[in-house]
Amino acid sequence: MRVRSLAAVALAAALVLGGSVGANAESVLRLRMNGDINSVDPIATTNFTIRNSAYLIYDTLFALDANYQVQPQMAEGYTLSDDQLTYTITLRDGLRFHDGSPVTATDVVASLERWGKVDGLGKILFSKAASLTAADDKTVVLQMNEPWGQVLPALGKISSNVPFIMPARLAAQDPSDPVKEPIGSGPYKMVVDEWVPGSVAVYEKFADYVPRPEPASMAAGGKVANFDRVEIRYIPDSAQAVDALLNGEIDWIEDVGADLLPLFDGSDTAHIQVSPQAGNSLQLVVNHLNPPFDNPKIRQALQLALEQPPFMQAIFGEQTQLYQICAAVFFCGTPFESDINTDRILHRDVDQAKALLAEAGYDGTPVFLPHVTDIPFHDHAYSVLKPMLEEAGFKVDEQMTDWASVSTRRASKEPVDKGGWNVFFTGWGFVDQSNPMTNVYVAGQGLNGWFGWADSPELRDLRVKFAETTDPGEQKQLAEDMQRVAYDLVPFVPLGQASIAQGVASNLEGFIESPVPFFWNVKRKD
Amino acid sequence: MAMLQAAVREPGAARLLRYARRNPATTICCLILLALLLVAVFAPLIAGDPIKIDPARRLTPPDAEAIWGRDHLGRDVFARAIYGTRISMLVGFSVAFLTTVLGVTIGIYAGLSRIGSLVVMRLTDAMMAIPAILLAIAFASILNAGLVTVIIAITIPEVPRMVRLVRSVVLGVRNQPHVTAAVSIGTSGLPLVWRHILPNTMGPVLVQATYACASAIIASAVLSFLGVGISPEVPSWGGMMADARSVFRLHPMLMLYPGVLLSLLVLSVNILGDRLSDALDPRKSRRGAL
Amino acid sequence: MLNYIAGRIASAIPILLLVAIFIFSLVNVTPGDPAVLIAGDNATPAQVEAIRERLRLDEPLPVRFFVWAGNAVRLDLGESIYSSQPVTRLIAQRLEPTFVLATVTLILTILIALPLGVVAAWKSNTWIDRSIMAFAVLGFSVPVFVIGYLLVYVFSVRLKWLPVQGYSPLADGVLGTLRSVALPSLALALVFAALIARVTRAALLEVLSENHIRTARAKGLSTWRILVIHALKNAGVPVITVIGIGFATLIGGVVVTESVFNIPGIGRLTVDAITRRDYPVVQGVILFFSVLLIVINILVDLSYALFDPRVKG
Repeated sequence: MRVRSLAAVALAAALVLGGSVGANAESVLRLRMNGDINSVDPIATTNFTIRNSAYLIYDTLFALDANYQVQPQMAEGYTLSDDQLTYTITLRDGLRFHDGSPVTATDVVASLERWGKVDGLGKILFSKAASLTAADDKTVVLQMNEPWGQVLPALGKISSNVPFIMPARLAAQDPSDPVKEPIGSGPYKMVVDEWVPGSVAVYEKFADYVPRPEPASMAAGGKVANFDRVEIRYIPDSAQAVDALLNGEIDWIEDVGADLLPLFDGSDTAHIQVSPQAGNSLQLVVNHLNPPFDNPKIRQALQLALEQPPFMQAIFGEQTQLYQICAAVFFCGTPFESDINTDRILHRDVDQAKALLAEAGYDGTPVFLPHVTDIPFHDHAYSVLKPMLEEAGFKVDEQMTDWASVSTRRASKEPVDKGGWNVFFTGWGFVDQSNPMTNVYVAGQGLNGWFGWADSPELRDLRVKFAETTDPGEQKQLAEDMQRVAYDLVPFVPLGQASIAQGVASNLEGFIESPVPFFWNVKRKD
Repeated sequence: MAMLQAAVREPGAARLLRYARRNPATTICCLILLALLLVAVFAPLIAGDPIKIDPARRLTPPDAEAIWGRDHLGRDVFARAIYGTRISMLVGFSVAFLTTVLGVTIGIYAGLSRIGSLVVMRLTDAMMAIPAILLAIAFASILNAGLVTVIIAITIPEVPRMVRLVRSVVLGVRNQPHVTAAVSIGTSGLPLVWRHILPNTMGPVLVQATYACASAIIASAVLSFLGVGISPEVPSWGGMMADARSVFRLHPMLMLYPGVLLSLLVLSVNILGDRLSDALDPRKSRRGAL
Repeated sequence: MLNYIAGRIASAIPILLLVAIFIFSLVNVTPGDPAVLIAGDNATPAQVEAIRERLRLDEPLPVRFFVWAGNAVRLDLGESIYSSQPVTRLIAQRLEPTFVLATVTLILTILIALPLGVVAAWKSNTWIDRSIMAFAVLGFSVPVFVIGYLLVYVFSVRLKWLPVQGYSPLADGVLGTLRSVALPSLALALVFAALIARVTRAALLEVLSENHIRTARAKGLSTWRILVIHALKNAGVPVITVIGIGFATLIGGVVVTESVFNIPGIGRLTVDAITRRDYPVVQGVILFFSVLLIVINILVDLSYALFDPRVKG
């Protein structure tokens, strides 16, 4: 007994004293994103976690700088013909893929074509283009049918779907067939052998990456990788993630829930970084294909059944500085902000909602709620949503699930009992929402559009007109018309606009303020 | 209980008190169980609305209305804890009852019939080869969320244990003189079971049912904690603890209230099971039913 | 001896078959079109059809079962719907954390439970015995995740001695691994030890009252030596039985603990897969656990031979 207990004490001492948490943590960057990395193809999905990880391993032809101006990234430069129809783009020297092969114009063409099949802006681009070809190994030629001012903004798109460049042999796959090999030309490369879906995704510095000479500026400029290794860890319990950050076990948390902000008080290992640009809105996306929301009146009853404050309060509590009530389809604090036709959204009226339901002949078809549990934002939102719907006369069928599953399920156009859906929460960011050309909810593209598949010839028409005009007054008017039509059509219900509070290890510096988290330029303080 | 069958005839109340003084642990457990049962039954009279959300007042400390404070959606924690008693007790008793009915029926059949024994043993072997909690999670995920689902999901892995217990008791009893005598005069089927077999199984079955009740209560908490089975708005102790995870550091009581209540209930049931086991066969001295 | 092993394995096969049938039916008689689920993102109807054909989803259930079972025997358990990775690869990746966690738990359990059980039997019916038994009942009445959270709060958050979550692979250093599983295995061990201590005590008491023990006593051997040398050996059988059966409980505990402490083991994989309706993974993992349990039970049966040469067939 005595010997055994001595051994036990010795072991305990060794455990406690032996090794700080992560002795070689200096050159490893450990990130905790909102979701899990369950796919390596950023074209097959718009999932933001996949997008964020894709920025580590892929690079883009053009990119937005901190002033939201489009800059060449993989491109050395470009020329535009006098008639505004021909773009000749030359690639930089020394670009290599992670499998050793050089990046050629053929790869760029193939990648852009694949992207163009699924991305909203990309589709418009290709509909106006006569051809996209590789003139030689380093030159890409884009021939337009008509002049279009959005060509570069499209190619420099910062958020889903980002026109990442991958080898032509992989880009040859149809976008709905996910690429399984993560081969890009970015500053890090993925170590597939160490990838454990549901747990961790591992990336290594890519020695052959040649950063641009300029300093980093949002998505543009020189991307210098300062770490040997990056790990994206999946920690579903947010409080645990914060504890891990405070304890030095991880370095960065994408979104610290408002409840947990007080935990950072007095800590010298980690602190909060508020990012307005990385903030999201809370949106309830509506599926127009399945009952009951295939009926426009029932969709408008939905608007009347909800209001923003309870959602925002449930998520942010007392941290009112992190959100604002905003019903503008193009976000508040942006050029196209407006309050046209927002009455039903901003004011909750249960009686009127019930009346509309009766008028529409609502037959009690339950609204299927996929209650996401691993993103606090969504988790709280579903809990608030259910009683609000029920009080307004809707029947609800709720099931617990996670974001990755919803991300997969929302692609289904089937009825609910065959794997389809009615509604789900999401949060499009600042950048895409503020631009009428990229806002998915005013696209009205029906079955060819983003999830929800709201169909509106009027919206399509308005967007075409918007693309054609350069007069700001006209653009503002068109934007307002878009909002008016959209809020009668109800492709979604806006439920609040938020900044994001990131958790950051205090020995890190070099973070870039951006709508999308970037990890080049970041390094440990000396 | 054996103790109660004292040779000395005393008035009932005095006898109870004497028993209570001799067996403080058992008495306390029975009282706790009784108290929790009353709480469950009279919940609406004791507490407020456990479901109504109030996001504006989320995570506020205790006040006159919500004596244990509010959770992350502004719901009254005390009310949810009180109503949570219902779920736990309902699940515990239902599972114990269903397990008993199914287990005894199948177990007696297996004990009396040779072919039945063969088949049932293989089936129970197979079912016990699958970890109980995984089976429960799988069932609960497949069927629609709800209390009935949870009860079914937890009962199914418990039945094989009961079946085996009953079968082994029946096999033992079958060879006893009064049974062979009865068989020799032609008693068979239902009367045989009813008069000779069943009474002998009641003791061990009761003990096992008690343990099944305790493990069912924990199992339902685990299921709720993992987010499977009961809808999150229904107040359950497991669900409360799952909700409390994300705010545990700042509001530890939100996890401790349901945790302590749950432990108290399970502890009482387990101790009761031990006492029953002792009473039925003091020689066995708390072997535990496994 | 070899015959015995062969016999046990042979009798395990029908059980395995039953388990396989059971799991397969459980998972495949659910509502929803599996082809759509598997096809996933942006699938065209043509692609859904292609998947339906490739997985022979139109065929009757028994045929599909034999296809699955046939593949399973060749260690091909299909692909995960969630991550498109082979199920076998997912299981292989997560074996180490679960195995380490289970092993450390078992060691801690024995270190805690056996001494407690011995002392309780030795001092039976004294206050020592009663306190130990009270502690034991408490141990398996408190849910393991409550114990887990309390341990994390004390040792990780307040004292900062041990990590809050996660698993450090053996390849990165044994000490790191032990530190990362210290709290979860302690939480599990407390529960498991409670059970084992009770059984140990009961088995020892039974043995102590037997004749040959009384003989030994009469010969003048101290109670202590009797307990440890003779009684423990004879009590080995029921104790090992409990460890074997309790392994199923252990796996249940491992499942919860891995979720609480964010350890990327097979338990976590299973829970995630079930809640995500990732059927190929669910089938594969439950089958894996069942095989494991059956193997453990056979090993338990075999180890009886070590403790009691009379038992051999």
